[in-house]
Amino acid sequence: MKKQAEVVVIGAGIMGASLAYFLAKHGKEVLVLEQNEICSGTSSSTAAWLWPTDKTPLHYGKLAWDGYNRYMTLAEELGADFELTITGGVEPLYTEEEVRAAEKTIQVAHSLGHPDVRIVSQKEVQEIEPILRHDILGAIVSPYEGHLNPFLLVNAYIQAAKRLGAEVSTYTKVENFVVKGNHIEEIVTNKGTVKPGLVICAAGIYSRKIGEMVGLDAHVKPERGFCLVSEKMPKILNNVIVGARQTVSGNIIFGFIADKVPMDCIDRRMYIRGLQWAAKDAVRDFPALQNINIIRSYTGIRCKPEDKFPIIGPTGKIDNFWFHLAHSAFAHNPVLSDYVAEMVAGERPYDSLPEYVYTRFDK
Amino acid sequence: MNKDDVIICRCEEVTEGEIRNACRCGASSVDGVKRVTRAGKGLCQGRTCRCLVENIVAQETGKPVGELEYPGVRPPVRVVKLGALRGEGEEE
Repeated sequence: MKKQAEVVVIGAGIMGASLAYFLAKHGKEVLVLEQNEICSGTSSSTAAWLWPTDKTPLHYGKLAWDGYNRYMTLAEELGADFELTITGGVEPLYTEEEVRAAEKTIQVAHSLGHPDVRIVSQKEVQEIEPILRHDILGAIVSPYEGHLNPFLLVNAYIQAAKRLGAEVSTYTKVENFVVKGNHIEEIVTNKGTVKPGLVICAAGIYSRKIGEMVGLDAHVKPERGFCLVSEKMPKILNNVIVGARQTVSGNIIFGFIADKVPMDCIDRRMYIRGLQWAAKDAVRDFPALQNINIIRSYTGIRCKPEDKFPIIGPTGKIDNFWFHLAHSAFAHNPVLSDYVAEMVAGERPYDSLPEYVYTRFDK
Repeated sequence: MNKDDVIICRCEEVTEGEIRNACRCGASSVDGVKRVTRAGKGLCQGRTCRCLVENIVAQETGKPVGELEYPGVRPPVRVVKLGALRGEGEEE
């Protein structure tokens, strides 16, 4: 591992990997520190839906749709396939209240030029996705939603960043910082120290601990989910459905659980309770699939910013420490990380994304 | 037959060459290889290929097998039907 770097990115999940790539593309000398392996934390345990439709209000919707559009040329740009598959999406609605909320949600898609995102009746849902339970009021249906392979995408970013000169050091855990005044002089890791120009913390839920080392609140909280993976099947699901998707390989991934956990939770073990919870949800939503074979399960911990929006840019209190955190990062990373790389390169003012800058929490 | 073409993970049909390439791209554990190649993601969940993958990773990283990170093992240990995973006679 090198002893100094212009920009040190902490974390090689989707946020850190995409940022490393765009920074390298902007000519920055980048070192990525990853405590485990590439794509091994939250990014490894996502359901990996590409779901722009539920991002509200308008500014967040715009970020997601801009990210979505950027995805269409990303495989070519990175020189690697990551199984991007546009299937369309179905979000079932169960109550009148959900239908009313859905009407607001689709307004954002409409105002961003996607009038074909619609609310349809149960009857129409049955035609689009016959395997889904029938006792629903209707659904949001969108032709745009899809899914991707998170491991291949994160690795594609990392390999592209390396080709542009970035260094990636795995099994490298940040243990402390040497701070003088309001400036980080050194990063102390289990593999030695690094002198950073700029430090950007893209460590997701682990950012809480890293922030504490320099006296900063990362303003993210953990939320746990449990997923089940079926054996490979012929094509059963036409769409990504809130609750299930079928991978390019044919496995169906079930799970859309939000388990409340303590603020410092990083426990990704699977519990009987998690298995049963996910199985009950899956059989309820897809009763016809109750005899499908489950081969694996996984637990993931979402990184949820306090106000749900990405947290980027300078922190102010430490002059060379930025955060780069988001939930739903697989939706908007191709533009969000590019914007932040532009900020680092001095090509974009920080206040161009006022809803997402870290300093909004100072107010 | 080229050694690189030998299938190591039979369930997912992953070759020795693909596993070595994953190591050269930065994977340095059985789980790291699994994430990018699918080796061990099939019906048998690595019970057939895990030792072979371990040995290849050990060769590529120059570390003895005992020093590699132990691969994560997650339930269900055997294939189980979705309905059976719900638990006994519970309805919500």
